[in-house]
Amino acid sequence: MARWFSVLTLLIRKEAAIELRGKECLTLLFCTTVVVAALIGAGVSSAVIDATTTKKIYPMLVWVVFLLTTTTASVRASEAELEGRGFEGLLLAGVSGTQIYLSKVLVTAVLFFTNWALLLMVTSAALDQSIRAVIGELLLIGAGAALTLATLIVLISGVAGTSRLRGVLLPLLTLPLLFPLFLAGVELTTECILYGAIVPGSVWPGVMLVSGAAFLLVGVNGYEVVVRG
Amino acid sequence: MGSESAAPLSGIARERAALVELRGIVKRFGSSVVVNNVSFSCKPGEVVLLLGANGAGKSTLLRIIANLVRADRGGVQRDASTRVGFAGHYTCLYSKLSVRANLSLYAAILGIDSTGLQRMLTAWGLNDAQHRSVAEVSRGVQSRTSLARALMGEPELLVLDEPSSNLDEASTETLCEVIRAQASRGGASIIATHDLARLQSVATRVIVLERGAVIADSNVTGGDAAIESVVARYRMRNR
Repeated sequence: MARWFSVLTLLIRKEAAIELRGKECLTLLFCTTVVVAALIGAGVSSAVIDATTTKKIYPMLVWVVFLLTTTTASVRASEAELEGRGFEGLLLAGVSGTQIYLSKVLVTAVLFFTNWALLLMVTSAALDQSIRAVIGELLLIGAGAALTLATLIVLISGVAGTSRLRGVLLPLLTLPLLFPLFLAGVELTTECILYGAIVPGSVWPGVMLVSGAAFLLVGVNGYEVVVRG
Repeated sequence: MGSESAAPLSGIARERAALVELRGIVKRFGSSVVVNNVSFSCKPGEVVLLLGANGAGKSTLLRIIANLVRADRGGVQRDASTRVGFAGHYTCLYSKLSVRANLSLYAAILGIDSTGLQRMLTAWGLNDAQHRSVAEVSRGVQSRTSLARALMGEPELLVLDEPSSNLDEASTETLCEVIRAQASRGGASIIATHDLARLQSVATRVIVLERGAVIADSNVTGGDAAIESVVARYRMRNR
């Protein structure tokens, strides 16, 4: 078991090294986030929407930007693996598909979470929202969302990567599966923004947890089949 | 699919069980049959050259042997503990990482220490290029790195697809030495190649594929002349 985790750690370091060397996913995430958030800020401002309405639509806008930017950047989630068929070398060296999948999920989740933190800063400034009082809760929601999203995106990018229809398949497969996460995310963020905390007894943390667990279960068991094609 | 020639294999190789055994392998891509009912086994000490024209099914067959592609019919039998070293058309390397970082990753996974890693870098002449990213080095260096990766940890079965295609004379000689050493340790190699001139010295057996089927399978322990005789028969048939 210790050996299994030590190989997983090696793969996580490899994933992080690939991202830090090229910074392609980070750059794409951050640039898209800043541009889209600034555009939304300018749009809301020019539409002369009052402060109360802006506060009500803020969670939905944040989540639209978050899902848009992360799914755009997700094309790169399995790129390094598929480019030189690195996963074949790993599988032949005795690494399991589960280890490859988990390493990608963890590194992708960290990238998505970093993007979430940046998104909160940029959108709160662009839409003139004070989120300081609930930043802890919002970051917690972001951590859950980043992990859930990464479990799905890594799996789907593996499926799309081995198909000739990758450009079409990725959004087609991802968008319907994102609905539970989107709804849970918007509701939880709304609870934080409007009521100052996640409402006790709220079902939405459960929805996010269950969808994340379901994607994780499929990914852990199916990623190797997916990348072998 | 039995051997055409009855030339015996040397000592230990004959007595031990096959490292890998293929039984009636069939693989289709769409409506075309790429591998057609291929059966043979490969014993310890054997170095099999897989010959055939482009599109004969060599690469697909090698990927099936390495368990990277599933056969539609038939099966590949090999001991679960038999480690396979595979180098194919793709390098299985990460282009953004350096040559050394790529090999370090595999060394760490296989439990090889830094001395073993350094030995590998030196053996394949990669010392000068070790800190450059794979994307920046020449195709020849990429091929050598890929071979070093495949051979790391001394796998029992080597499956190589046109391994000499980007190699210079010195690297090809290193490859031949490694294959011979591996065979003498009781390992086996299955090598698809068009480069008969440079690799025939290591072969103990030649299998010729045509349209996915085995049309010749001969032991060639008699040396270069024996290989040429198999190839000549194959060419005659194709006239």
